[in-house]
Amino acid sequence: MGTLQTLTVHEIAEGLEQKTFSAREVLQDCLEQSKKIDPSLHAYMELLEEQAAAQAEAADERRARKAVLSSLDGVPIAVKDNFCMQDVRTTASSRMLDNYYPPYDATVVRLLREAGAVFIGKTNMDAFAHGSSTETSDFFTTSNPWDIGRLPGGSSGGSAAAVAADMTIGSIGSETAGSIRQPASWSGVTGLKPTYGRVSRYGLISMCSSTDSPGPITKDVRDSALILDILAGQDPHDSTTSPQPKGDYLACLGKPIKGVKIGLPKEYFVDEIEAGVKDAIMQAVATFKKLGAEIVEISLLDPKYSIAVYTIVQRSEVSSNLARLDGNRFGHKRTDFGDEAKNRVMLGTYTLSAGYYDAYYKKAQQVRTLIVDDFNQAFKTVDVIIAPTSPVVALPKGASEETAIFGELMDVLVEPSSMAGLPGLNVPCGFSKPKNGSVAMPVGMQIMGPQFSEELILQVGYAFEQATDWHTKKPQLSQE
Amino acid sequence: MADRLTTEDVARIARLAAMQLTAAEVKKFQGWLTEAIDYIEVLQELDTAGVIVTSQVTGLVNLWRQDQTQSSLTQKQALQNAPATYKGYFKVEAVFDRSEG
Repeated sequence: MGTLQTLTVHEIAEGLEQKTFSAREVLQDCLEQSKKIDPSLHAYMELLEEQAAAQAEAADERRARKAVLSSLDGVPIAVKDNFCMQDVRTTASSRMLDNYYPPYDATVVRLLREAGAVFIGKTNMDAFAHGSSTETSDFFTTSNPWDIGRLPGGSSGGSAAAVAADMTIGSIGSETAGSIRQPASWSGVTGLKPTYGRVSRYGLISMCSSTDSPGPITKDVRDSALILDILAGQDPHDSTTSPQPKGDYLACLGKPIKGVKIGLPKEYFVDEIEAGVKDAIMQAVATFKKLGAEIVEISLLDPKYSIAVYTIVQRSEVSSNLARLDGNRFGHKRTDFGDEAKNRVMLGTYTLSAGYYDAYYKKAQQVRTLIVDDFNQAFKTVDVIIAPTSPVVALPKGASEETAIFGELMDVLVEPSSMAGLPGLNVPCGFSKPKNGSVAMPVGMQIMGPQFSEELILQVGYAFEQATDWHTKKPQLSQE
Repeated sequence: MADRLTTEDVARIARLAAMQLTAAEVKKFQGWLTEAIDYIEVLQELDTAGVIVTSQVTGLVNLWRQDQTQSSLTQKQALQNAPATYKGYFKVEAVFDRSEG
C-alpha cells in the first residue's frame, strides 16, 4: 500500500508538478486508506469513488497538456455533507434530507471544482450541524482517530477525522460557532474559520445565517491558506459576502512575528479548563515569547454570556431556516426531524414569539453588540488573541447526551468570536491524557484576529507551527 | 421561569413551529426547553439600556445588483426532488380545510 495519503496539499501539489506521482495514484492511496480505516471511524457519509476517479483522471490529462487549473488541481478534498453538490446526495446527515440530490453546486463546491479538486467523499456531521460531537448525526457517530472510544468533536467531525486519519488530503467544514475549530482541536488538525462573509454561504444548508462560515480543515497552516485562497471572495449569490478584496494568504506565511502583540484573555483560563489544556497553551505562550512576540494579558467579557447569546440567536435563526423544510419540494415531512432539530426549532420559535421577543431575541442582539465592542476595544491594544479552542480534550462517546446545551458548553471559548464574525485558526499545540482515558489526546490553540485579518492569524499560526512539530503527529490507527 | 413553561406551552410552541409531537415528546421537550431557558436567563445580568442591536456583523447594508435576467434551474431540475408533481407543478397537501371555515 502507498503512503501518498499522508502528504499535505502543498506536498501533493509539488509532487504532481514534478511528476513524482499522478493524481490517480494519490486518489488510490486515499481510497485504500479510507476503505481500511473508515469502517471503524465512520467519518464518511459516502465515498464518491467513481466520480473521484474520473476527476483525478481529468486532472492528470490537464497536467499532461499543461493546463493545470490551480495548486488544488488533482488534490483529494472531502466535503462536509451540508454543502450542496450537484446530483450527489446531500443530507446534512439528517434523515429529513436522505433523498435529496441538489440540482446545483454550492459556491464553495463550484470554486473547488473549477480549481480541479477531486471530491473524494461527503463527510458525517451533527444533523443540520446542530451539535459539537457528531453524536446527533441521524445516521452514525464518527470516532476520534486518536481513540475510537472518544468523539471527534463537531459539527464538522467527519471532515476533521478524515484529515486526521489520512483518509483525504484536505477537507471542507463549516462553522457557526466552533464547528471547524472545535473538531480540529479534538482531532489534532488545523482548522480555519474565516471572517463571516469572507467565504460564500450559497448552497450551504443554512443553520445560523448571521454566523455560518465555510472553511478548510487541513494537516497544516499552509494548506488552510491554499484552500482559503481558492474559496475567499464576493459572491453575487450571497449578498452577505464582503466586497473587500481578499488577502495574499500565502505571502504572509514565513514573515517573522517579532513585535506582534498577542493578547491572553484571563476569562478564557477559568477553573473549568483542563489542567493539561492550560499547560499546553502556556507552553505555546513560551514559544511565542521565544519568537519575539509580546504577550499582553487582557480582559474580555465573560464567555458565559456568549453561550446565552449564541443559544438564542442560533435557535431563532434555525427555526426560521428549517421552516423551509416542508417536504413539498424536497426532503421528507416535518415529522422526520430528529429530536435535536425539533428542540432547536421550538426554542427558536419561543424566543421569537410574541411576548418573548424583547426579553430574549432583542436582548441577545443587544448583548451581541457588547461582544463586538468588547473585541474592538481589545484589538486597540493587541494584534491577535490566543486561547484554548476547547476547555477539554476529546470527550468519550455519550457525553453529548448529558445536557441540552452540550454543544454550547463545549464551544464556550469559540462562541464570542463567532458572534462577532471574527476569523479564528485552530493549530495543534500539545497533548493531554484525560483522567479516564488511556491515550493522550490532542490539544488545540485558537488564534483570533479582527475581521478580515486572515493574513495575520495565518502568519502567527504558521510561525508557531514552524517552531513546533505538533502538527506532524499522527494517530495510531486501528482497523476493524 | 421554569414553571412558566407548562405542557400546554410546549404544545403551543410545537403548533407554531409546525411540529407534531406525541405526549411523551411534549414531556421530553418540556424538560429540555426549560433547561435551555434557565440558562439563557443569565443575560438579564447585563445592562443593555440604550444599546443598539447587532444583526449583521460586517456592516453591509443595502446591496444592489443589476436587474438582469440570469440563467436558472430548468423546470426538470427544480422538480427533481419533489415527492409529487402535477403537470410541471409541485403537488402539495391542502393548507386550508373547508370544514373549518
